Amino acid sequence: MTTKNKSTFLLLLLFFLSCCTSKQTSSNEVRVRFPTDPESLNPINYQTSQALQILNLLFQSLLTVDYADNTLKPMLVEGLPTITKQDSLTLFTYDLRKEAVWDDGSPVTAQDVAFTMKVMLCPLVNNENIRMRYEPVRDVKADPNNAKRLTIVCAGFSPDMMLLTGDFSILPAATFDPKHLLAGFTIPQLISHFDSLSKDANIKAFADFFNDNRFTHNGTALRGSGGYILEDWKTGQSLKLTKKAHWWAESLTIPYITAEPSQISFSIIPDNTTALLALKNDQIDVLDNISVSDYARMQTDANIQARFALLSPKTYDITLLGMNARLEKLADRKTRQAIAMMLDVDNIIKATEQGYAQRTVGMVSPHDTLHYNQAIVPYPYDLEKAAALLREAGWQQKNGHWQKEHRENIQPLTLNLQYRTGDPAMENLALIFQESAKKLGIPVELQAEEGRLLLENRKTRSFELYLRKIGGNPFSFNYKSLFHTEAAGPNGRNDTNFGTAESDSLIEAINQASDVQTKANLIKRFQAVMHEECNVVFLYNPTLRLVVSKRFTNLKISGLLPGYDISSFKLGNL
Amino acid sequence: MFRYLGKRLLILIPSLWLILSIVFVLNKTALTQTASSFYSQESKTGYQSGQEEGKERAFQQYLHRTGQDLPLFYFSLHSLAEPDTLSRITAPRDFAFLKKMLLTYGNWPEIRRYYQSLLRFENKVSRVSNVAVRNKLQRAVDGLFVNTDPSQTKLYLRKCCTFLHVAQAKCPLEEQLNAVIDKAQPWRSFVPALHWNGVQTQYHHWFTQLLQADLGLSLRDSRPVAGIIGEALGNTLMMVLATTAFTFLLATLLGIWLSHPAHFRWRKPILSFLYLLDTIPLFILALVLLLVLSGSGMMGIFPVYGLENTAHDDGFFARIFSQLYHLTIPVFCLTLANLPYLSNQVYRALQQVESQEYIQTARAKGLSEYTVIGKHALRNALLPLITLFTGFIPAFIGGALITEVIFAIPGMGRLLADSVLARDNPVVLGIVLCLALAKMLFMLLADGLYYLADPRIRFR
Repeated sequence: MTTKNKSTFLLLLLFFLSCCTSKQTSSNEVRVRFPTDPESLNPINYQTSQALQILNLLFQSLLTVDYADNTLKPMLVEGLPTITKQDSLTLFTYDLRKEAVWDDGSPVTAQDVAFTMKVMLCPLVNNENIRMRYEPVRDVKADPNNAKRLTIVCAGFSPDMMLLTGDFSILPAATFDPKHLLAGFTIPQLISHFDSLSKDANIKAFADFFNDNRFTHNGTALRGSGGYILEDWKTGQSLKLTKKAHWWAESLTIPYITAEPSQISFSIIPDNTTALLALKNDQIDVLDNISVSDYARMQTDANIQARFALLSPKTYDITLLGMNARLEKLADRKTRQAIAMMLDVDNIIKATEQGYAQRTVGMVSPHDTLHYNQAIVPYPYDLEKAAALLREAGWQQKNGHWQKEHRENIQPLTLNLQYRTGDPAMENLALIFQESAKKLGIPVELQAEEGRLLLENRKTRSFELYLRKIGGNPFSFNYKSLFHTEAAGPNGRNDTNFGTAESDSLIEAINQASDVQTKANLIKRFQAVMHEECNVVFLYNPTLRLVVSKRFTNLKISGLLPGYDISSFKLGNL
Repeated sequence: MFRYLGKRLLILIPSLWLILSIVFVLNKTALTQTASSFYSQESKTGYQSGQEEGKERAFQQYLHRTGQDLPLFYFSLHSLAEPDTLSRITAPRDFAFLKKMLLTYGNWPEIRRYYQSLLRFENKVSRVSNVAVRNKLQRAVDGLFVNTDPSQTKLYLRKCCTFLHVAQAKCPLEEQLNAVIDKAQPWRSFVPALHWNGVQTQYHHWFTQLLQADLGLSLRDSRPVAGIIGEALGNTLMMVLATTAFTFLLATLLGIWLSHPAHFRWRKPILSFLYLLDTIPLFILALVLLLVLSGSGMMGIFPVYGLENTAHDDGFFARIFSQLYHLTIPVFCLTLANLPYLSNQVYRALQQVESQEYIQTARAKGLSEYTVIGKHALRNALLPLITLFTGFIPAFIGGALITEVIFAIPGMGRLLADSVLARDNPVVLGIVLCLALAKMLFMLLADGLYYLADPRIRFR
């Protein structure tokens, strides 16, 4: 290479590197890793939890969860709703905060809430995902004398209705329907004339306007009453949110309604190893959904410990084993209890979650001391006792295998266990169970399935045993759709066919109870019945595993997803 | 030459149509969505609720709104026993049961009557107040829906008839089942029948749109498919072109260098090293490069992830340079992964040409070794290289998934994988169109390059 060539090359290299040096982050910016793109930020039709996290920063709902104590609190409203029961209807009356305004200074009114409900129930609108949830809603009545007062009318009553009425993004009618196309329709009309209204010109025009991608991607259109605006979105790469210059809630000084960081950026990094490297390189501040092995390694890394807070809040999610009691071989409760005793849960927690989980006996999380039934002793890992129970259930051991005479046929005791493929925790759990059952002479066939196939199998009841994780929350204890015998039919969610006369009446009583202690006692009794029947063996509550830079304080860590309240992050001393 | 290319183009168009049509039908058949898998949205507080009936109803409305409830193709092929209305049964359990019954007995009118009686009976069972009795009967009903074997079915029927308080001989369910068995026409299940569905089909709508150069809207975010693919293709193309350029340049240089007799002693160690490099899986190579070149404790000179690090208002050149900087390791990684195979191919092709007599003549004339290889041997070794070159880019466009995932580059591989998982059919079909088009254009390019490189093809 000649001297001239060398200097040209060096100059080019210098220019290249100077252009590309990574930009320093502004100090009050929080950088979060997302494993996938949020895809759509339409407040009515979103698909991912990432989208939900961003929507919570752009839009506000009537009620919110305070991550500091995991309770429901008023957000856009002055207080929790007044609940009135009128015959078969329940009325939820809310008073919107006087200070609440949209970005143009116009007040958030009852008409905006009614408009949002109309959008959620309107034909032709891309709202199928949310509409079925709002089927109990009959009307939203705005008070003619008070623009800030509204009443949401629901059919019947269930304990989760308050959450339902307060848990949706309120949209500014002026932005989402500037031509007032929905103004001529009432909510009862939209419900009762759903099919005929799909031919109406105004409804068609509104649906075309609303379904457009301006309300899935465009930061200018997607502006609610939240503290942030979507400044930039490079699809598949990153999103940037900037704090509003003048936000109405700034003056409120309510600790759970916050917008502390001046900027929040989300980087989309699909691979976990790359995300970890980005964390170590100080390119991101928040990393969640960390695998147990990586989390355990980070706990021994002094460099990480010095710069990051390693957090593992207890979740309300539950890992469980379901048994199909419709099948003759699993119809006897004692057989199911015997299977429960083949699960070495304590060792399973060590092997699959490296100890980052808490054993449980029911649908209630053990850290919810008011509702968790501490009197229930979990099924012990006891193969001898399991064998005794199998004998009591009529099974006999011949040539090392279990069998039962059933209608002149010999039915062998073999089991098939389905679980989601690609989940190491589930795979290990299944293998441990298979090994335990083998010791007792019961062959277990393992069947790893793709998530959607597993769901179909549960729905068609084409399973014997399954392993799955289900999400829980501390707000409502409505078990009707999951465990009532009415839900055991062909389309119901009670896939294990659980249910006794007592459990059905307990579910009804829990839903009607208004006194906190009475309700807690009923829930405890319900857990005992479920434990005894053993259609479902509740194994453990896993913990969330996340890491946050020590630059920030006031993290409000919670067991509810995403596990932290990013809007509350304040810059610390590090 | 243009006549030659024009002829090839005429053959390519029907091939493209055929590929797309097959993929459309296969895609729609394989990636079907059901109500339960459709509802993945959580509420603001992460809480899910809703009745199953409501979900099913809203899902049907969604299918109707998006035109997915129409028949798939202009005609459908099924057995003579199968009615056209079977696809309207959406409950998976019932659909599977009816299919099984049709295959066993083949007489739809009787099967329909039996099925309707079963549904009525199930409804009656769901209203039984005694939970133990209800559970027992529900098990019997479940058994009836799973079994088509008469001996098994009759056991379950006995339970049901006892509940109905009727003698088994007069039990309506038993009567319906006997009618199904007596009038069985199993042969009908083995006779194929064509059914004309008319023009209002999913295929017709999609194809008419396609002819108007409209790929439709993504089911995930309502954006135009062409825009989404354009974005991803832009991201992938820069990586693919840079990789192709580097790989072919290095492979050719290495092939020539190895062919030189003076470097004979280097051949064995270099070829062994290339062989070793070829055995390293791409994801390991990518992660090692990432750790060494980007790790904070190591060299740390390149960014860990992403495609660019520019602000909204940064200029064009700043963006291009930022992208080049971010693409350094991915391109390096892909070049390393593909270099062994390509350089081996170049080397082998040169070796074959080297034994030809005209090469001996060139050497005898006293030409330098590099002139002999570069001017005389290389041109004749080009034909296999052209095939490799034109196959390389289309394969890369959809196939750089691992690199895109590890380096967080939103390219075509990731888009295809995500769209398949999300059942976003318009995007999947758009990508297939794009890949098929790329493959065909590059085949056409290969033909053109052969034509230019080899005079024998020109004179044929």
